[in-house]
Amino acid sequence: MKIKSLKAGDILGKKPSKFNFLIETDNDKVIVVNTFTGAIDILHSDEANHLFTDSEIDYNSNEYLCKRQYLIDDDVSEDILLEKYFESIKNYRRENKSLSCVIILTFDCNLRCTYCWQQNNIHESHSRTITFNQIDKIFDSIEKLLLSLEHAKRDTPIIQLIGGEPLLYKNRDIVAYILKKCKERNWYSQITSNGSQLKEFMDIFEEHGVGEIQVTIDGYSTVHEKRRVGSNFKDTMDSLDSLIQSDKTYIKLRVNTDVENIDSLPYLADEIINRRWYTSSRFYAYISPLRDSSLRETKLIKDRINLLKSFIEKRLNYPQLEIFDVLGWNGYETAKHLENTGRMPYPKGFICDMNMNNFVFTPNGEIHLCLEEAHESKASVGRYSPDFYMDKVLFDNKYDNTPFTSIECKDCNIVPICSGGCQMIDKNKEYKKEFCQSVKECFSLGVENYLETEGLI
Amino acid sequence: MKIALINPPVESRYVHSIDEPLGILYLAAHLRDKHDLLIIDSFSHNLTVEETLDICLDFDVDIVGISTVFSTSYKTSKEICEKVKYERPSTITILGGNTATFMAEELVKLPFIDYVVRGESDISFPILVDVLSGGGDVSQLKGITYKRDNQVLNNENQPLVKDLDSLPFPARDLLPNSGQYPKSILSTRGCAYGCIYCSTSAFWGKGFRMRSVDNIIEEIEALVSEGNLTYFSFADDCFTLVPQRAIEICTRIGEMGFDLEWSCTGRIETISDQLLKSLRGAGCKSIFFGIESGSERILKELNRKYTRNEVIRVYNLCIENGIKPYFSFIVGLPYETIEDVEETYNLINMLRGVENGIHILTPFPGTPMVENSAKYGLDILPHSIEELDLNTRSFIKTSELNPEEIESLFRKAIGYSFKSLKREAKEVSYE
Ligand code: SF4
Ligand code: SF4
Repeated sequence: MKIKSLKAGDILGKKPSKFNFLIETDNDKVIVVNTFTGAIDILHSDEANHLFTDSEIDYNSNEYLCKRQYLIDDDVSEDILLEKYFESIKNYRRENKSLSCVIILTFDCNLRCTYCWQQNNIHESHSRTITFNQIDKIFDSIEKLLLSLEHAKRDTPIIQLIGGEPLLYKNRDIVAYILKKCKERNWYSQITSNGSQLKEFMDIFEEHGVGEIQVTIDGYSTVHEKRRVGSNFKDTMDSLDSLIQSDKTYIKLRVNTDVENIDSLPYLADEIINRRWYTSSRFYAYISPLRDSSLRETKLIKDRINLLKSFIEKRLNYPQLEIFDVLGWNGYETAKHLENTGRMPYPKGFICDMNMNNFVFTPNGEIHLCLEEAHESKASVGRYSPDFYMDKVLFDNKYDNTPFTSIECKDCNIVPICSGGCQMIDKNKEYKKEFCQSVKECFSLGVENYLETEGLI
Repeated sequence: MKIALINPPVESRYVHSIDEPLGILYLAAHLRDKHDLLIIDSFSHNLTVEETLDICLDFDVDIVGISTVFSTSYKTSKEICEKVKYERPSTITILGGNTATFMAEELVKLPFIDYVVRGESDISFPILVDVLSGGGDVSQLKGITYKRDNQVLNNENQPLVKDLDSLPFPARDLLPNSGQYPKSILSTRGCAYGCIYCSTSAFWGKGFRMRSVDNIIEEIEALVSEGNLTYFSFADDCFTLVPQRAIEICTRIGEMGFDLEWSCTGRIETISDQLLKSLRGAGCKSIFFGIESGSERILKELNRKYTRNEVIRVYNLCIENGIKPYFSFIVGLPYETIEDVEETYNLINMLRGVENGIHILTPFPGTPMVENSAKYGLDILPHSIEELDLNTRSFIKTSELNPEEIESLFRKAIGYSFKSLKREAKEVSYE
């Protein structure tokens, strides 16, 4: 599979769309995708080379390409069209998105995962847990945000507890306090946990309720315990079992995936099937590539495509892997939509959570728009303590940011479907280069795989 | 007499649906005028054995009647009887339902179980209760298993109810929180097919009995007049068995002029475009089909009167008519090879955007495959009844596959059914 770029040619007042994306397959065919219109065609490579690289092309013979909008009128500005699309959809999207309020309870954690980017010094220097008074202030701030944000779904904010590890025994009282406050307000609560001390919290969940718990694991038993130093796989699975059977809480199982644990996934799928979790409408499992949020290393991002390839290949032999959704491989999401519906999705219309009513509250009183940069004070956009305030300029910069402010994204032929992917990544050009490569490869792999499965190539 | 009719809890549970316990509700309808009744639906309300027991004791119960339909409630049914006898030794314990019927002797051997009412109990259970309350002799009663002088006695079978229209409607009003339940209607009893893995024919007796269309419509009207009927299901083994009758029911439902939505069960060879149009027109939203296999060879072995192409034809017709089909398959069928199971996978892959339930062939008591295992080349391995409904383990060695292979093929099939469900439903072309 090779990804080709287009050379523009003048064809009787026509030009190739800047969103044409070509995927060359091994069997002399080229898949043409227009990432803005969603058109897909399969051409013979001679034909494709001719059509897209010749400067003198007879318009009449290319009527089809014009109709499919791979060739468009010279005077059409696709940049303006896409920007207009972003503008028109932005508020609609936000109005349908509840406020997502992430509370970092503590940076402290009881495990020492081998790959954790929150280095030990972060765990230790930030071992403080958020206070009751801070929680009151966070809830007050959320009320204020609900009133002040112009476009947001207002009915039920989602309160998400996260860490470090939020479910540490010493945090029982504060977790109970937060869940009680959510219940009183009828706000949806979510907890993201490593699952190691779930059983210490069962009584609290029973008393106050919790909407959703996401537990992250690292593959099947041995490899999980090797990587999540200090964890007990069986204990975690047994606690999840009780929660799933109680049918009161939605359980998400996230499986961090990389080359080291991918071979263990079929065993994990078998365990989930044997435990009958797959029959519960309140259970959902997905795999996600391990990610280095510090963006220090590019190795993981470079590995992404191979990881995805090897998962898709493995799934052919172990179809039980279908019980895992595949999330976090930017670019592949679009192909997945194509796989499931036979159609390309509409262009995404926002970069990431930062544009979408997402607020993060840290133990030191800051408000951020992105969890991944919440340990950096300078990235904050406001405070909830001692008093609530938002820095409008900083906030707008992130909240209203579009991919068109990035030089790379502005001229990228898959910007309609990728939309820039992640605002943090723009800060690190070397990482971004690898990221973009990975997005294109994952998209191509997904599209090619779909067409192959459907017997179309 | 104070009688508690119990739908028992199950041991472990991942699917939480509530269904009307129709068997109990029919019995309650027979008994309501003569006795003091309490219906306890522990299954739907997730009650534990202890909670169920407490309710019985608070009620000062004289007779406990438990409907042991599923094997996952086999153990809990026994526990309830044991505990109630311990707390209140004078209580009479009676079990009924599919699993109890086929395990009658084993159950009655237990010191804390007095009677098992076998098979259809609309006639035998009320008579048993009457005789017991009058202190009479049960030795002449039909359809019961009991013990006398440490000996287990199986009285002769109770003849089936001839005229289903003569039965009262289920006593839904006696079911606590009855408004919360989606309604089910049984328009037939029994099944004409006698599939090897199914105990329906052994339980309800050979032959297929139908209620009259008038009688069914009367029940729907009664439900509507009680208020809030928006959705119900026909809980028959095969609602479409006689297509003309199904069409007639649809016409009559349509004539009622209510905005009703409902679901039913069907059999591939009974489905035509005309039938689906009638069903859709009368508010049918989904149909459940047991397909069992995607292999032509195995379908023949199972005496099925349809081919895989006909399954696809019906899938297409359902999609076209806006009715959601549900399909179910079994892995580990007699004579099934890995290649046959792969044919099933292929079929599942084609049936997109709908639920394809997957089951492991399971030796439920009373099924032809258990009664006649050698005939089907099956070696049934030791197992406990409680494990049977779990649908994760195989207890059968077939002529082609061992239990481990069957379990592994089953897990793969689950994967394919997930894959299919993620896809959008669309009509499939076939030869
Ligand atoms: S992040 Fe990279 S791949 Fe995505 S739109 Fe921007 S340039 Fe393109
Ligand atoms: S900046 Fe990146 S990490 Fe942060 S919310 Fe956006 S996508 Fe996520």
